[in-house]
Amino acid sequence: MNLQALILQKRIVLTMGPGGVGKTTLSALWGLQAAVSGRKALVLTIDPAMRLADALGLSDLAPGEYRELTLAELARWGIAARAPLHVGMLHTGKCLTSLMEREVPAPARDKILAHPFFQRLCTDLAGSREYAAMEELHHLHLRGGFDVLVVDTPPSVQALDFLEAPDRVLDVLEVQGLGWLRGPALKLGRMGLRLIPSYGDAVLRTLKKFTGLDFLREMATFIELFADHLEGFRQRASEVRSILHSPMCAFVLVSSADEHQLDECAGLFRQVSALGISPASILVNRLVLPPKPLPSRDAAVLLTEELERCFPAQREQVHRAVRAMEQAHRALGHLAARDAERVEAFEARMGLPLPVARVGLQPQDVHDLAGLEALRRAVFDG
Amino acid sequence: METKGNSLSMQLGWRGRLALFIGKGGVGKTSLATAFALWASRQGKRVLVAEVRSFRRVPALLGREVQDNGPVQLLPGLDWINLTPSFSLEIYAMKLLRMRSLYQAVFGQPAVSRFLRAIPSLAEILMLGHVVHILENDPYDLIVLDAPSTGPGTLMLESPRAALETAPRGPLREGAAWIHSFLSDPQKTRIHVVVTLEELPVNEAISLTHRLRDELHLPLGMALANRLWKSPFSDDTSEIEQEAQRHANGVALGTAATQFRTRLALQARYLERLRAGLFLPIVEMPEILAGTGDGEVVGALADHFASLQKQEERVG
Repeated sequence: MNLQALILQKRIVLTMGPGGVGKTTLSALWGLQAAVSGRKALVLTIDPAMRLADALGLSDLAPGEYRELTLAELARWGIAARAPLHVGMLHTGKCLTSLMEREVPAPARDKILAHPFFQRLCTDLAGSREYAAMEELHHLHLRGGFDVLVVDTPPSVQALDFLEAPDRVLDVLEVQGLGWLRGPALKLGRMGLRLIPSYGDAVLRTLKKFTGLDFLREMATFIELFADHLEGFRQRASEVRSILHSPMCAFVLVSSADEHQLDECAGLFRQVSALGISPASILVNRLVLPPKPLPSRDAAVLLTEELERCFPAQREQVHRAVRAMEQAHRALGHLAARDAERVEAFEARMGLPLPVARVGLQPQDVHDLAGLEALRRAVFDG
Repeated sequence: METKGNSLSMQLGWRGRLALFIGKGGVGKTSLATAFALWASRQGKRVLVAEVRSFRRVPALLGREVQDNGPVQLLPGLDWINLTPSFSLEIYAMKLLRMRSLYQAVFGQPAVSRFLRAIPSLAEILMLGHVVHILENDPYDLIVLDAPSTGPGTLMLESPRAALETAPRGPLREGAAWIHSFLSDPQKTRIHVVVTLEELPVNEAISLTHRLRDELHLPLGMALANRLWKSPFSDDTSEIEQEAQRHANGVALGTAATQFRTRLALQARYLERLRAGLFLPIVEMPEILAGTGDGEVVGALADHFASLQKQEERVG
């Protein structure tokens, strides 16, 4: 399915790929194209690198804040949009805090918010961000108000963590799986805070050695706080799981022409497919496009003669200039051929059921809306 | 120029144990880390390159196909390992428990692995702990760690300190303290930041180095500006190049020249911004045009390290 169709038809578009291939900029681009096509889009970056503000030139966009770019604002950048564009960067702590405020009633909520383990989760520890992203996606999707959600995911491995987050939550919340931790061996309160040997089995004793008793206790009190609210968490995780697998959701895999990034993209393709999700589109970004071919083999010699007539006093400079231009032409040709070769090899190796889209290296990095609009025209209108 | 040279020799001649490469994804961290390791091993050091949850890119770069996570020897004096949370957990648990049967009895249980997977940052701490464990127990002179890209890489580097500050007392916190003291010791560890001369990587490198220094208090080494295009032009010929574009025989050449010069100008501007924003010596690494094979690229980069070092010795 081509990108234009994805942007017009899907409810959720996830941009995935190795680091540094331009996922954030491209995600902003999908959002802008949606806005120009009259669909109200929200672009949400869950990559902890949080470069969306940079790509859009919104230096004051704070993590956790959602910003509306109105039609008037977009028009100031020369963009004829038919719907506003919303953008935001996930803030783990704010997201998890409002999640608790929404989902858990007092007094359990206040205890959770004050719990040291919860506060640790909020400091963006690895793992908690993926979980927060999953909840945020659920919240935004159900709340509605947008025609399409564009999600800019973190580089490959962490993106897989995100896709697996629902399963992971479902795993942990399985009552049987938790029974041993919630059971009497670690029971707190009236019984005092000791690990009771008669109840403790080998597992608990070993884990105690591994993490320390205080840590287990902390986990146990934390999980205990959720005891009456597990169902909601389980339900949301399973809803996100089915959203990610449903046809309203599309995955766009992005790579550059770099050999390793193509490899990583191929690996990601296999891993995503193994999760039962099939990417809707693959795009290779930032290709060096080939220079125009020389009109004849002796073009440089002829050009030298012509230029010597234009600059009769600078023969030596003319020779140097032509040599340098030939070198530049050769180098660009070499880089372009290398890129093209790699992408073709990638296509052949993958035996893809879908065509690989190609986007050329732009003369300038995108760092404001004008740059993004120029890229949009090059990709969608060109 | 002089201070840059001196600092560079200091970096290249540095005798510590752990060289960590970090930077935005796609800037060529893995190639440079591998080239650095190759160069060090050519000098007679015993080197281990460690990747993190990777698709085995380092062996591929050196033309080797590996099926498992290592450790495996890729070249004489150059070994490789792929760190994964479960691999590192096994090493750590075995160190604690010393009994494989007990390890399997406990950690083989789905409930236990679910529990462990739910502990944020545990995976990162375990993998860093694994690196320090190898350095303290195996006869390597140097470990070159190809860290994850900036976002997750920073989370990984800050995980021991976060655990140290927030985890309750116990083995986890002690382990974190042990890792933290290794990572924050400039005699033992250096963190090198890899960057390409483009808007997002440069911004990211600048904020990353400040964060590593000011918030995480980790010892930084050098910044490697990667994939620099070398200019074939001299300053006084741009007018001639403009004129060339007005000739049928010169359109292709002149346009290529303009395109190339645009890129060079951009590169110069970002190098300037990097110099202004960074407090590290900046090492310029070239875009390798010769050959498309990976082995050639890494070899050429390792040669470049060697030639930089020779230049320094001649100057110094």
